[in-house]
Amino acid sequence: MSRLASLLPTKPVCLFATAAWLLACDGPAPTEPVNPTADAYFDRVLPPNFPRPYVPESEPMTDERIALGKHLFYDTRLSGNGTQSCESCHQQQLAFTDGLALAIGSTGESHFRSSMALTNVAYNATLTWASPFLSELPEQALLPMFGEAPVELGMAGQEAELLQRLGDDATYQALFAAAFPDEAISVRAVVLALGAFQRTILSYRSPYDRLAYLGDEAALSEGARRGMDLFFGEKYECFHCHGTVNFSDATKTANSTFDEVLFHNTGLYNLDGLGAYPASDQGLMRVTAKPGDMGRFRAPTLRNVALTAPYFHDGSAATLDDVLDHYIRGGRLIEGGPNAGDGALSPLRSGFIKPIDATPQERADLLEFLHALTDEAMLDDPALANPWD
Amino acid sequence: MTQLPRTWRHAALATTSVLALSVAACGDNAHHHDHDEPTPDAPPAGPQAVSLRFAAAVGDEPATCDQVFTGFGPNADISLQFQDLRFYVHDIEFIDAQGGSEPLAMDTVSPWQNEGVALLDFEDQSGLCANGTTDLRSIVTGTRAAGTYTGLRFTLGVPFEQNHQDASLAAAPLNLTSLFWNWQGGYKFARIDTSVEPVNPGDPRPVFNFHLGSTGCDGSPAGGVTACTADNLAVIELTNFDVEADQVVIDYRELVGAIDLAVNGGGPPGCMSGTTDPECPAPFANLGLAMGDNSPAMTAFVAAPVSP
Repeated sequence: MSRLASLLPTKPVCLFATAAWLLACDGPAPTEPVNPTADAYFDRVLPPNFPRPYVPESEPMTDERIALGKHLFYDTRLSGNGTQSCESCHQQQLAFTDGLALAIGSTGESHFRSSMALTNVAYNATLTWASPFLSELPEQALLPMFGEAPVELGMAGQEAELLQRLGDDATYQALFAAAFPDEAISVRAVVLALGAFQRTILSYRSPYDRLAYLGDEAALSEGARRGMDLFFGEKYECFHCHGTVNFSDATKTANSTFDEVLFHNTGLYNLDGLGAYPASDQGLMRVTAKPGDMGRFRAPTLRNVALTAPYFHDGSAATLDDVLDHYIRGGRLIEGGPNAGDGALSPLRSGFIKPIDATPQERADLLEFLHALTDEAMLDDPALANPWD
Repeated sequence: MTQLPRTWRHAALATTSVLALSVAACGDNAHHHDHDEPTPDAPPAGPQAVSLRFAAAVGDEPATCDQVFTGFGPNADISLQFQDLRFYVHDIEFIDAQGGSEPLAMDTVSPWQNEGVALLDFEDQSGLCANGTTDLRSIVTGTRAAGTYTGLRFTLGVPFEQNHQDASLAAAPLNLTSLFWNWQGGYKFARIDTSVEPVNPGDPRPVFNFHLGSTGCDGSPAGGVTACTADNLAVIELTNFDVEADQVVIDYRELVGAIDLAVNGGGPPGCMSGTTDPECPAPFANLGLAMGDNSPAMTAFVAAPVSP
């Protein structure tokens, strides 16, 4: 009998996770205030024993705000030149990412990072690939809208134009009036609505979820079950960084009592023997300027990971096979060119990154398990689809 | 003031308003110095309303969006146009002959001044300043204790407490999206962007963006930004400054010096406060901001008489 089966049907996720997550499951009552509209939404949608995201009380998730946010998410009027919307880099069929190694902004400028999947973004303890303090979706939305280095949606300095565009549209007049009855159309209202909608991008219907939360023993193939045991086992150690309900340790739920800020250097680069990453993106160090933060990034969720190629913060792994190569080797070897170096020798890489004596069968089983994290229903969910179509 | 007895000065420093009275009284009424209180016949002198004037210049010319400025770079052959020219100031103080200082109690003036932070705005959306605003702002108003002051000190930037708030909730003047700097969790303290004339007509125009702001910021999801290793708040001091006659001028020629504005030696074009950006040490030094171990002299701001 697998380790999982003995735990079903109650809170199986707790077993797989870190010590802090165990605390979150069984520890003291949460100190944060509840958010009635968010609680109601998640109660309506999620399975009863599926952990709920934490939503600040100041960010209600009313149906009206969700509807407004969905219209905004899919609206190219949110870009300066009218060519891109949030969806341009976060497409439903690709689990809300874009299939590119590096994102391309509305003016054609290449980003230095890969678009993150928005799957279960409501659970993220921090947002973007590497920020220690950016944790609220409304605040984060300012970055793609108004950021300039690089340009994404390209709205910097054009907030008056944006509010004019929205205010002139009869659809928005009604949507804003319903979502924010006592407020004028504002940047704050726009980003609050975007946050409300993004929290509805939820993955909880994968084959893995059917096993873990509904007790459906037949949900996973034999190979995927073996892969799951490898994933959550000490040989592969995947779960240390990709644990919790959201397959990322940087997760915050309604039950969390601690704010965990977790970033990891996985040994992708080692330009100088001291662990240096390319100057184009040095991870958390780019913000904190701490040498020890070189190459540290937040572990992204692995839900729908089969759909989100290419992989890593810079899209430098084309396939899940390449990703497994990296982790099984214990760091990536780049033999030539400007980024040459052996990540396995990086002094900054996480202690969980180490060479693994993997068999072909184990590799195949792990891949099968990762594919069992695909939530087909999310990809076709009309509640998440473009409302303007 | 120099001849004031120590006891008198100490009494006068007890409160701002008393100092205001004392400074007004001391000029012509030396025989009152042995009293702790001004005599009834001294002219009343409460806090003074002050309008501190700023200007932006390129050498002797006003810096405007619709004009081409020439003579930049190591060979003085680079021409440029402004694309933006805005900056925040706070902690304005007037310095007296003894080196003491009195703060400017900043007025609240929507949308330019709020909670001690003022925006100065020298772009009017004309020319290449397309992402600016049509409004201009070249003064900071407030009140100070009456007195005789010989110098001025202010800080370029946004105070830490206001710099790291949620920008989507901030009141003017901290609600301009072109001055947001969210990936650093703060604001651009100064945004002075120029577009450089290409060597060959028709080639892409290089840009030289100067974005000053705090870097090396750390924090937590719950607490937000808790500290920045490089706050990059430039304390600007002008030792000879008469608020009645003078204005504070930022001279772009002094800010960038002789660096080659047409070549990006690394990092983003221009200087976005990156510690390893080769275009940053020069403008930082000219603002008196150390980058590394140097302790540079501030030259970018000067006091100049207001033109008649």
